[in-house]
Amino acid sequence: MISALRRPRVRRRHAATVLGLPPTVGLGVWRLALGVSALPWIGATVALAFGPGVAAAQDFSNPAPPWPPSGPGILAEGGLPGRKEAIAFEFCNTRWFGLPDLTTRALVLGAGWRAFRVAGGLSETGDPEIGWKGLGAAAGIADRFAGAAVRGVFRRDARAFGRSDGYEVGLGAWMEAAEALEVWTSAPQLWTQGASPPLRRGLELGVGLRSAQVKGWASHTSLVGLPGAGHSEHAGGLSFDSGPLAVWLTARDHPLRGGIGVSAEARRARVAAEIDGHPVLGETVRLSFGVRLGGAP
Amino acid sequence: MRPWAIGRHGQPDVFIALLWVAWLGLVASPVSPEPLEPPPESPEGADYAAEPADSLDGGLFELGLGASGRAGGEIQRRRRVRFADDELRGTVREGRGDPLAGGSVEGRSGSGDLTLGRLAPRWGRGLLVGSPADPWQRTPTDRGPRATFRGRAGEGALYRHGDREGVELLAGRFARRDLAGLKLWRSGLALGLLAGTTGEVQGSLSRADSADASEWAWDLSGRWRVEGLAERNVGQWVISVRARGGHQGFRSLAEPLRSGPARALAVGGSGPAPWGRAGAVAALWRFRSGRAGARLALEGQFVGRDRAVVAWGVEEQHGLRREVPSWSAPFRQGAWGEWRRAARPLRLSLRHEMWGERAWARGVTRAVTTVRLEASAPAGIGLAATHSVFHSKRGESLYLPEGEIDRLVLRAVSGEGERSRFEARVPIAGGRISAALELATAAAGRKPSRWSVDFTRRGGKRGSRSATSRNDSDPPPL
Repeated sequence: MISALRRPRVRRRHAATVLGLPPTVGLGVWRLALGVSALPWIGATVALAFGPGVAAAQDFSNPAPPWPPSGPGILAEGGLPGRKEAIAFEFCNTRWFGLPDLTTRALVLGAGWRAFRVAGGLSETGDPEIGWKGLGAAAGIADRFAGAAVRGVFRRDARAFGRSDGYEVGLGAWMEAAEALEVWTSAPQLWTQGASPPLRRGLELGVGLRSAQVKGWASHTSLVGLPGAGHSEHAGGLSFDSGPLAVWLTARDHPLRGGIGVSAEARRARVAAEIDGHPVLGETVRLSFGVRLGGAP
Repeated sequence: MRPWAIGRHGQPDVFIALLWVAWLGLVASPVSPEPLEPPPESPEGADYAAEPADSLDGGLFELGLGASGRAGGEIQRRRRVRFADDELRGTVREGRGDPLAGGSVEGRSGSGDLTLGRLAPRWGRGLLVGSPADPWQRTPTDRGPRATFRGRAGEGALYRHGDREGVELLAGRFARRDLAGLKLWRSGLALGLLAGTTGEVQGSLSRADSADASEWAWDLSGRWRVEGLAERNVGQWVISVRARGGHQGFRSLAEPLRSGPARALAVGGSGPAPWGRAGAVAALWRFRSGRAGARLALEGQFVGRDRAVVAWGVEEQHGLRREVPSWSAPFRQGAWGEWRRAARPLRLSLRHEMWGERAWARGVTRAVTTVRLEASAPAGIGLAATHSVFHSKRGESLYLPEGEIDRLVLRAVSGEGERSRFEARVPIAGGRISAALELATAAAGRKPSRWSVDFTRRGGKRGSRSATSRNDSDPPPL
């Protein structure tokens, strides 16, 4: 992937100019036109052009409120372990920006025993010939008052693209600050090596407030390398629970946009869907189906 | 939390306590209304290392061996010895390229105390010997016998005799000058004289009691400075007023680079507030014509259950902080907030600060977000990770504090980037090995990683409470 960046600058400029897009976006589209594995670059260029929050997660993105953490997906993606120990799996499908070819499919398995939490999963993004696959794992500890975990993802580009490998390692942590008030932090890419991840993810600080039926959260994400004078993004949201049903609303800035999600639980199964809008890039749709096999309710 | 503590170098109370805590690695960065900066004599944009002025209990000694380096670079080795007995204590450091190399030995007897080696004395308000504090401070952190950090003002010999009345003799090399000094004091009133080998002579007259302190310093050419500090209790609040005046050309022979502004006025207060504690300081200063500054700062702190701490501050500053030219914006507004808590086995600290060159902190000149997570494992093993994301405008100096086993390093960074530091501490062979790995990324790409390893072991007389036993039972946090 990196070698592609070193191609003649003139051609990159040309692709961007012809399509009337910012140069960073044009680079990804140019790679698509050449028929090489451009999917990671779509994510990267979109993030560079429009901000870090285009997608707060990537390989194991599941439809759920960012706070409180629940399910193995958020542990594998952000390093945030949940309070409850349980053996559970989730299947997630994300269609990015309304592009049928840009779809991530992921299967995540999580388990907990006493204070220990682990999760692992596989994901595939894009067409098997030109996309990439990801193998993720996370391990940490959590109890009623605090939790922390280390997470990592190993990615391999499609075979057609020369097996360009890369990995990232990060961590997340949360802690109860007061009754019903929690703070969290997530830095999923503390250490990256090899091929660049599809999206740069920053250092997120968040605060969550919860009651029996309503939860609210706000977060601040700092990121390096944004265009212009930008260096951070803010997000917030509300979640409403009513028995087995939950609905949540999210809002982000840079550019201002929002999303809505809904989930339902029956016995040990959970289904969820979320739509994130973007004024330029279109809608991202996430679907998930999960089953809890055991552990605390 | 005294308002004087709101400053770069802070001073006792909360700021210094937290700075100390930062050195120990308990928090990502100390509670301070702005990023820490090195003292004026340190070159701008260079790393600065400060040595904590802690001391061993009597009968103990400490040996330290360390090495550090960066990827593809040369390995730098360090050695240090500290010892303490009833009448003799000292510290010696050695290492090529180590800015803290050197040492001092203190001997105590009935006839007085003698210190040889590195010296950082302070007379009165520091106008003549020692450093006068910045206008928004009460005292500097690295000068005088009760300093938090061991200063490096000069090298030589210092003899002190007496308590309520006595004498202090000073001979050494300060600021590339050979100097000799004499100080006599009685009942809170002190007279000091400082002379150089080329005929320079300066004098000072100072007075101090529990609440007030003042000093008048002069030189043979008639230049002088005077400073006074007064503190009063108003209800549960402590109100402080500090004023300085004099000739703009006056420079201390011992520390000319720390002479500070010729004129300054500062008013501050601190005390309990509905949410916890609060403090405020307003300061004006002037180095010379056209080089002046002002600062207004407010800060608050709330300590919740289980020692969870929320601290915040806002500040506005006009003009120059240093006498030397700087690219920093003349106007600056900023805010910072920090939260931290320990819930065993985890300890988490979050901090964000932002400074802008326009009203309401717009036109961001620097922003720093820092997270530190620590975990303590069985058998005294400790792990920690610190991650900072920073953004600074061209010309802005930014320093990120990093606590190492024997020092606090203010790491100079610029532009925008990320820094991650991973630390591990393992008890072994009656001592402790500490290792750290630092990864830095700038917008242009990754920078060479740094690493450091240190082995520390303490021992002592039979019956002394040694750090070796502490290692096994109650390991200190990273």
